[in-house]
Amino acid sequence: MQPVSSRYTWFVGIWLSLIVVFGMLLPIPNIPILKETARNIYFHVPQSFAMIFVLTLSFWNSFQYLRKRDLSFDRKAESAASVGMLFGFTTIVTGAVWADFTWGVFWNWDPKQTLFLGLLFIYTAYFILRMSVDDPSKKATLSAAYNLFSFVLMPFLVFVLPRMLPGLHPGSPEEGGANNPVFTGINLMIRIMLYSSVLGFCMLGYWLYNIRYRLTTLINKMD
Amino acid sequence: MNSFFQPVWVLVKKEFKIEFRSRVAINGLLLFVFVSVALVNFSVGYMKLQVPIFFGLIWLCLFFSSMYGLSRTFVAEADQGTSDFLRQLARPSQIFLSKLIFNLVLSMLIAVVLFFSFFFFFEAPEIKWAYFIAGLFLGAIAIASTTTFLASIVSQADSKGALFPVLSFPLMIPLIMTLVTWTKNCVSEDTISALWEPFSVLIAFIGVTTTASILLFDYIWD
Repeated sequence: MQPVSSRYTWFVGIWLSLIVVFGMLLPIPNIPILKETARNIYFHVPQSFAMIFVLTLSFWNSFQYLRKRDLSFDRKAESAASVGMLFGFTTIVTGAVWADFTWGVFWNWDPKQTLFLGLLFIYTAYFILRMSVDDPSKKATLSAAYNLFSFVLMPFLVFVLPRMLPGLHPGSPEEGGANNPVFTGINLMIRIMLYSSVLGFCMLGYWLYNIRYRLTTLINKMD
Repeated sequence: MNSFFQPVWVLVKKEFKIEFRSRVAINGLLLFVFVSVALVNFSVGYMKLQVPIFFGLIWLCLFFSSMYGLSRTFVAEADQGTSDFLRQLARPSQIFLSKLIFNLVLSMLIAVVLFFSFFFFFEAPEIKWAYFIAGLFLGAIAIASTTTFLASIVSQADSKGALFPVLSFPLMIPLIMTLVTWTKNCVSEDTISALWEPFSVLIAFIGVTTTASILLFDYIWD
């Protein structure tokens, strides 16, 4: 895999800097409990989207490994999963800071928090499985199978159950599955900002994945 | 069609025959269930348990007993070195189906024994029991369908140790949460409509895990 071009890195750097500047400066609706922390929607939500994006990359590479039995796909899947865990961690941290302000505690076992933690546990288990197999091709096969198996269960964790169980995140059933309260008021601008931020974080995720993959390939060559 | 299910049936019979010959797994499992219920009884047996605690303990015992019992079928094949003979005899999906059926029976057995021992040791709370038992069986089926595939992964790993629970528990978090919702809704007035949502989630879960494991088993078993 070629390193990303310097034009790509410049674009991502400037794009995300602009997201930070505009995210802090542009007006945001004044919602009672959220107040100015509503701006966190430009950082917390896109990071979780970026996590899903790189985990999808990991899923795709595991699938390709099982079809073609080429170990480079296994390294790609592993690199993408590790970047996904990084984004999962930052999502939880930004969410916990936000939760401390709005709900009064860092962690309160809201279904979305719990299931997100479960998602991180799944990928931790994926890395533990990799550690407990010695033969490289067997390691690749087993971890690819586990990756595919857990990815098809991911919709339950991320989409189905948070909409079924009562909780504090937007989209819980007692609010009738209503949209995020930040979206009331000046709707269009916030949406544009949010989706550009999602794009920026996904591009950052691809960049990290690229670096990580080339690094694991080098380590593999040295062994 | 018949030629596909003929070997499955033979393999299922073989599983049960081996099990009845030694009875190690079944006796160990029953003892495990009884000991876990007795341990619960030592700590909280003197008081009348409220509905959430009572059922929380039942699910806890069910999950840990399944962790003990359900990895055995595949791991035993690997330990005794009989996997290669199995590969000669049948196609991967047939082998997987036979193991799945055996594990389904085993987890149902765990559920039944657990249910009766809880009734025997504890003063049971008032809920609609027919619905709860349906949920218990659905939960047992879902656990077996999730863990059978993971057991086949574990049986091929080098350091098996605590790998089976490590791989299984995160995948079962959504299942646990759905089952807890199920028991919570068993006390409500309009039971059928309250249970519809967890029921559909459970059925979807069983369908997804069974399909995915039959498809993926071809790749890891060769």
